[in-house]
Amino acid sequence: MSDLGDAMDPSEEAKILQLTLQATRDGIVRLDLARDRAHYSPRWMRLFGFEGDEPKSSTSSNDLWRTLIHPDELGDVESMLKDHIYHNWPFSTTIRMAHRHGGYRHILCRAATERDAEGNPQQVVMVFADITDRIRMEERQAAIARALPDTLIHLDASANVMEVIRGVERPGSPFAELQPGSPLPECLAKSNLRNQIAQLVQPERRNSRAGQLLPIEVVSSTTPGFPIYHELRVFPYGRQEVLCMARDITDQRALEQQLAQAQKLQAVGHLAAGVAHEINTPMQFIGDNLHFIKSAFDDMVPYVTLLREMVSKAGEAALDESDLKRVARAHSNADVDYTMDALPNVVERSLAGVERVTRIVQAMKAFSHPTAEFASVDLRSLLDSTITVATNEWKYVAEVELDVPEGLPMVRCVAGELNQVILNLIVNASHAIGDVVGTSGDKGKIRISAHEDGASVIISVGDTGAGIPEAIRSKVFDPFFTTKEVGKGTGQGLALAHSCVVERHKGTIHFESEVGRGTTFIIRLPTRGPAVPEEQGVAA
Amino acid sequence: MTTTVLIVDDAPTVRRYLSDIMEKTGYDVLSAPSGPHAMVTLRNNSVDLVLLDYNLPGMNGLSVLHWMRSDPVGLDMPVVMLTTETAPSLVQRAKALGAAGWLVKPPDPKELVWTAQNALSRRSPLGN
Repeated sequence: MSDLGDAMDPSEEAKILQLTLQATRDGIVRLDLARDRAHYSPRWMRLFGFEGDEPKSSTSSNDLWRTLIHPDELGDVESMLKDHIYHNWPFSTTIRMAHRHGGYRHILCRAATERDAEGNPQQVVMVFADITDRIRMEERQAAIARALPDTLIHLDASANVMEVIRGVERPGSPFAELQPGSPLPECLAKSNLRNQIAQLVQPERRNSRAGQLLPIEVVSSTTPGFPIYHELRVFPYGRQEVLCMARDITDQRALEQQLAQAQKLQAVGHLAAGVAHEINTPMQFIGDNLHFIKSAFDDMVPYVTLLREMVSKAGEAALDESDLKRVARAHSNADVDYTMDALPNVVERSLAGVERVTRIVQAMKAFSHPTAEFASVDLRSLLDSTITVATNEWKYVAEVELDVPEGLPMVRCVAGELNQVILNLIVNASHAIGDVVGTSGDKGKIRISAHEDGASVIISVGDTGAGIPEAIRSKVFDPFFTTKEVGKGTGQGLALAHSCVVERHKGTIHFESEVGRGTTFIIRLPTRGPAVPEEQGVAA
Repeated sequence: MTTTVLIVDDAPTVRRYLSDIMEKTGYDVLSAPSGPHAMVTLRNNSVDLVLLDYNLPGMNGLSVLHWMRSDPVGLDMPVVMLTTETAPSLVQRAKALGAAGWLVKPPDPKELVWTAQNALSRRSPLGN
């Protein structure tokens, strides 16, 4: 066998052929065209359940192999075999053939023809391989492919659509009408799918685990305002081909948005208790003051009434001693001097209290405004209202210092999301300081500042808390990572802050921390908003 | 009058192997490394038979055949596919596009000559 390339000694060749026939699990039929006879190999007989116990006439029949072929397929087989014998077309087909003991087997049937010097066919050797197991496996895989909600697209190296197995696609989806040979949907053509394919089909990447790249996200829309999101995963496949799995993640997207909104509502709900307290305190003293004013007024009424009486009497006759005594008594009963002295202050403080309540309510309103649009935002008022809303979080543990220089430019951002980020940082800072000062009554400091740096604005939130231990610094932005006790944090705050700053605003967020000294989070936002218009939404 | 065969294959060694056989048999031989080259050659020469590889760079052999069938220069041209593939679906598409034969690479010289002669003698684009 070592030198198959050289011409073989005929007896050697015959021996090898004999061995091959023994080794193969395939059944072989030889059609002798000159004598019109068919010869069946023992293996072929066994393949279809013949054990040599059947009457010779039936098993050695020239047409036995034909009689086993499923009637629906016999015609095709005959015509393909004719093409093969007389026009030399390849003969290779998968057919169903009856087994003697019942049922059909899937058979891969191939043939080769021996010809004389003029090309006239002499004899045909047909090889029958039982591939039932393989077909079952293929059927199972096809069933899996159909069961998947994803759409599977088979593409060649130039991103031509070769095959489409459609999953569940909503109306308007770019994959709903995709057919083999149709051009790539616009959203795919715009994405970096071609790049990925080009990378994947490189020989060194093909069969490696590294062959899998990051999913690509594409957005398409037939109805304005109702985008359809798909996530594409591309796998190298065979030779110079890729399989692209497209998964509709529109609903997931909607859920994510709802989750972000829910997190915000949760934060607002959590703040509500603090805000209620913030409103309650001024309301209480405003109430007390109003009570004071009411009683002072009640006391003043008899005095003023008496004075009015005296004034009208004085117009007719001179006032006598007893009149003056009544006035003096009423003056003293009404506590006029004290009232005159205290009242301006009481009113002043009440007005201040009303102003404080108004400010908190306005901050709360500004904070929970559900806008999701990019707009020019005054950072000072955004930071200010967020600090106000969070007052109850920090006021027992820290002083807050806000440093925003005059003339800071307006920043193009989504206010409703950015204030959420700042709030999370303030709450974290308060907790970090709280861990240090405990209930000692000491206070730490939270420094919040914003300043311009080239085309960016840098916002920093620093605390004098415990700092972040080295070991967990790499995890602080991971979703669900938290060191807070149950009920105090869910591990979503910084993860959301990261996705808001980095993905939505194309900015950066990082922190500097020193154990025992504190932590400062630093956010850098492009002043003019993300460079890529948000609608294109093509993630790398 | 001589008979001209156009060999379409991107591999120079394959083109040389096939050319040698066809030239020894008495055919004139032209060759092209890709589908577009083949179309240009067909337009500028009188060709009687095309031996067409399937695994061509860019456009595969069946796409080239499809292209030929939509163009007057290739409409009635006898074409023998020459490939390592034997997938029944490809064979069926080649038949449907009126290919005159399908040879598995590398073809036995006798088989190649016989199939070429067979294809030339029939000359009917969609018959078999």
